[in-house]
Amino acid sequence: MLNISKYYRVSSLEEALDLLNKETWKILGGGTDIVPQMRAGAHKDAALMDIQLLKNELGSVEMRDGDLVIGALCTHEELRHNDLVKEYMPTLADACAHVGSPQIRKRGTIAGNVINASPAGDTIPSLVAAGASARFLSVNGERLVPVEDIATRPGRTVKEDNELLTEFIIPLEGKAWKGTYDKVGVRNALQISIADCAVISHPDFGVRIACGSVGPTVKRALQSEALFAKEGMTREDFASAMAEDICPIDDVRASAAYRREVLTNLIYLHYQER
Amino acid sequence: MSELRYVGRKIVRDDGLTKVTGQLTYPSDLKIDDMYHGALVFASVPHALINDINVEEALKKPGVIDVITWKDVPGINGFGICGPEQPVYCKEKVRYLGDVVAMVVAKTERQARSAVSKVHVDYTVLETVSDSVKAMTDSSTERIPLPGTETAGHNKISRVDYSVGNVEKIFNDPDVIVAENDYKTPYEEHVYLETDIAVATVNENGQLELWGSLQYPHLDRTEIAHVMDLPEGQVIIHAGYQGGGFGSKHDMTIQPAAAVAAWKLKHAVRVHMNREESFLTSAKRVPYQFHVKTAADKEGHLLAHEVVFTADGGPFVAANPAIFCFTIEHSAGVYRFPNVHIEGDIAYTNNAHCGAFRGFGCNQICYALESQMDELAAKLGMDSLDFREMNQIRTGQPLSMTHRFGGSDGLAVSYDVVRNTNLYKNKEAFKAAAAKPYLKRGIGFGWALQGVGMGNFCPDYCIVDVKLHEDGHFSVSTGAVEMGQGVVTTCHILAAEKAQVSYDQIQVLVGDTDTTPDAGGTVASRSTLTAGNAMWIAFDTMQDYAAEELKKSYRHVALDFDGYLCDGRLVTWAEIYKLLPPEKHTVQGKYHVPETNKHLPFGVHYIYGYCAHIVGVEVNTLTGQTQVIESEILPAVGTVVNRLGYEGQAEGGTSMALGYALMEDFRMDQESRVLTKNLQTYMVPTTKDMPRVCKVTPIETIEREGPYGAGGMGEVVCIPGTPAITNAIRDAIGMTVRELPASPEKVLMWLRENA
Repeated sequence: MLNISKYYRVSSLEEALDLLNKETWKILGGGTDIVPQMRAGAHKDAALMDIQLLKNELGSVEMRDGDLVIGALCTHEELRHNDLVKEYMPTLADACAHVGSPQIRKRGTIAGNVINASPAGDTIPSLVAAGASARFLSVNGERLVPVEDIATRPGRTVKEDNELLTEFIIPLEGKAWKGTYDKVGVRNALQISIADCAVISHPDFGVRIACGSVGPTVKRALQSEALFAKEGMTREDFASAMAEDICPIDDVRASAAYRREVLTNLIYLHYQER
Repeated sequence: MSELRYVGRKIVRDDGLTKVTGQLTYPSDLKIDDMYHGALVFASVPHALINDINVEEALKKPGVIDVITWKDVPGINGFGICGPEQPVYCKEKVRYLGDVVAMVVAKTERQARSAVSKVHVDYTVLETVSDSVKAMTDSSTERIPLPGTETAGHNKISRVDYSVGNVEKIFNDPDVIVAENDYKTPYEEHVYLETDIAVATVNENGQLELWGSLQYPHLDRTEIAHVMDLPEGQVIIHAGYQGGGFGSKHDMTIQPAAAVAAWKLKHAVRVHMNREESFLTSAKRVPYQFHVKTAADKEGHLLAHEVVFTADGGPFVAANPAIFCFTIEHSAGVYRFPNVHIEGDIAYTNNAHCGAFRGFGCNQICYALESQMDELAAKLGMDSLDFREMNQIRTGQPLSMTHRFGGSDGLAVSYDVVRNTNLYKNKEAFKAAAAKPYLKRGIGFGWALQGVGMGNFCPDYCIVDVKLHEDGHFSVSTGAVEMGQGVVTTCHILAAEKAQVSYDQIQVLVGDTDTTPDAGGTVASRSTLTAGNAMWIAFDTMQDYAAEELKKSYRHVALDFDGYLCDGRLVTWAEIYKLLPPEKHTVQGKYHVPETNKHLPFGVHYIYGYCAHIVGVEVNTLTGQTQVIESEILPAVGTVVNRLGYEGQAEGGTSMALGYALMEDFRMDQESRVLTKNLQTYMVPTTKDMPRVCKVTPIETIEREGPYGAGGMGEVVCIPGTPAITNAIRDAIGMTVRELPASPEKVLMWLRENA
């Protein structure tokens, strides 16, 4: 039983932008977040704009000027198997493989995962660590926003009502990011992360770390990144760095202390194994 | 025994195809034309006196037909397995947040739900009692049961104190080795796929007819008849095929409330709880706190075992006294202790409603006991398998509670079978195979026994009707409920085997007070044994009738496949039908489960099922996560009736044991509000958590009392896996798991403190 005022399926990007400029809509992509939220009573009487027919315009992955560009409507399932993603941003492919269940991965989109603005969005740490940007289009033009700056707090973003997120641009300079994505939970599938992190490196940009579920939004772990440049760092050094990098909370899924402990262990492991 | 035609083979379940194609009708699929929909008004505070229930505003909402409250209950405003203590609609007070105060009945579910907030209940809020120990020991805590309710003490549902020999004398001996520890277990939610449902109506004969989430339709009929103040003949209950139960549906939830509404309105009313409502109201596995002291001599002979415990029964008596007694009965497990002292109290609190859950109070104590066995073996410097075997009860000995037991000899051979498992034989190689230095591997065991049937706690019988039809096929009907466990297929196999007929000549009917006789509850791992034996008796009678009749016309009469061989000619059952007088077309078999020799202050069983479980785990010492890499479960529950169903039960039991060991944890805050409201935060294992190697190895020793030597396996297979996993964690990293679940957080925090 969903309480919606209106449902409309747009057939072109122009039409979508035009309608977004005229009225307030909730965007429906794969629906894997918004539908459960509506079932729980959120977005009451919302007007739903279904953008799935824009798959041709917003559903591709390509190299553009040496950067990796991922369309908003790419599903997790597509991205985990995409050759470009696997080669140039393997931690993103890995993160996509860890999203929910097969059903969720086949419907859910990367833009939805980011714009839902959950600190536990699985694709976000890789995008934030790599310094990816999102392109927002509106009838007034376009703007690029770093993924790290999209969410302002859980469930809130800088996206204007008349804007549509169309693609992500991951800077590569033609070279691949390598690294690891760790997602910590109590089971192996259908799991909202208790804590997660992408620890990645790039020949030009160096080591980058971003952590999720340990603060209101996914953030770079700058202090920890800095330690990777130094030799002989200890676990205690990483524990101190993490104390500044993240601000986890206690919730029903885990304590703040556990979140700190587990991310310190994992990042220190990657330091040792680098 | 001659060669068996059906028993022991892999037979696809009768309802398999209709389930996977979506054709089978569950109670929640039922639609009656023009039916109304009910939405429940739950307590808004966990403990309060009700001053007033104002329904005026709700009645004005669109589509609302009526708002049902306690005033509409014609008979006893209460129900419950061990006493009618749970109100159908609360009158004087509410005692937990799942208490039902009223039901809005409207033309659509949406209309009903949207009017719920317009029912205004005026409360005098009372203190929330959420600490089970304080509830009983501090007499200044608010009393939870209704005035006039008999209790075993302040906020105490029941108490047992039972001794054999003298444990103190042993514990005072300076030469004995003692392990003394605390253990704690969580609430566990069943997570059956089909959430609680009731559809009630008044049929053309003026009878109340109800379809719903139920595991014992004949008892539910009695209870609903009391609520409705109707004779039982005026009430028809259809349970049929349920989308899972695991014991929870033994406690009714909204079915009496729906019956009251339908009766008042003389109209069909459907009430279906969503997942959050089901989590809030349905019975959970009882949580326990144990203090356990176990002693052995220096050679490893067990001498004494003391268990002192507190359990949290929640707001109602429900099935709690029975569960509590079951824990006591099983507290010494499969081991021989000359001295035993068991003392326990179960409290009323405002927390979750507790009740039956697969294993019925054995899972909790088995985890504690099997942990003790490993700890004691370590203190003795003994191999934990040798230590167990040395102390295991031998066939013919009484159990530690002093009563005699029958059943198979599976237990006696289980140790050798475990020693023969691949995992045991290769345990060192398994442990050395961890791919990273921070991954630590260990193996662990668990042994369990589990009473089959009701014990001598209450009458334990089952009735089966067998009817011969004109075309020669038999219908076999019994009130057992098919919840996915496979009772229909089991009955089908046992009936076809006993009748010696083609498989398609048997039709099985279940779960209905109108068309099937009382089978007792579909609980306690009892249906294979009880329905199998009852139909055995019925078919014996039918075959006697047939032979008697045929002997009038033939000299040599012998039962053969699909009929009788009579002087060299096969007389089919269709022909026999014509020969038999109509009153002999239907026969009834009634089976009583045998009782043990003693009546103790708690119910005890004569028949038990056994199960051993060996697992290999890998603990990630950086994250605290535990993966079960290999598992081999070895049920010793008599003959395998259907290899497919057997494996399904054993693998499902493994999964459930794994969930209880590692992740399942239904939590409330101090104000008794549910924190794990749905499947987003309440974690159950998925297929991805199942061990890569998941073997099922039946120890097929004959259950002498059972049909074709079969016993009961539904529950015992979900019990020893839990301590096997926690013992394997101990083997891997040295941590004794003192509290379930052994979540990544508990493991990692232990590692940090014990680095």
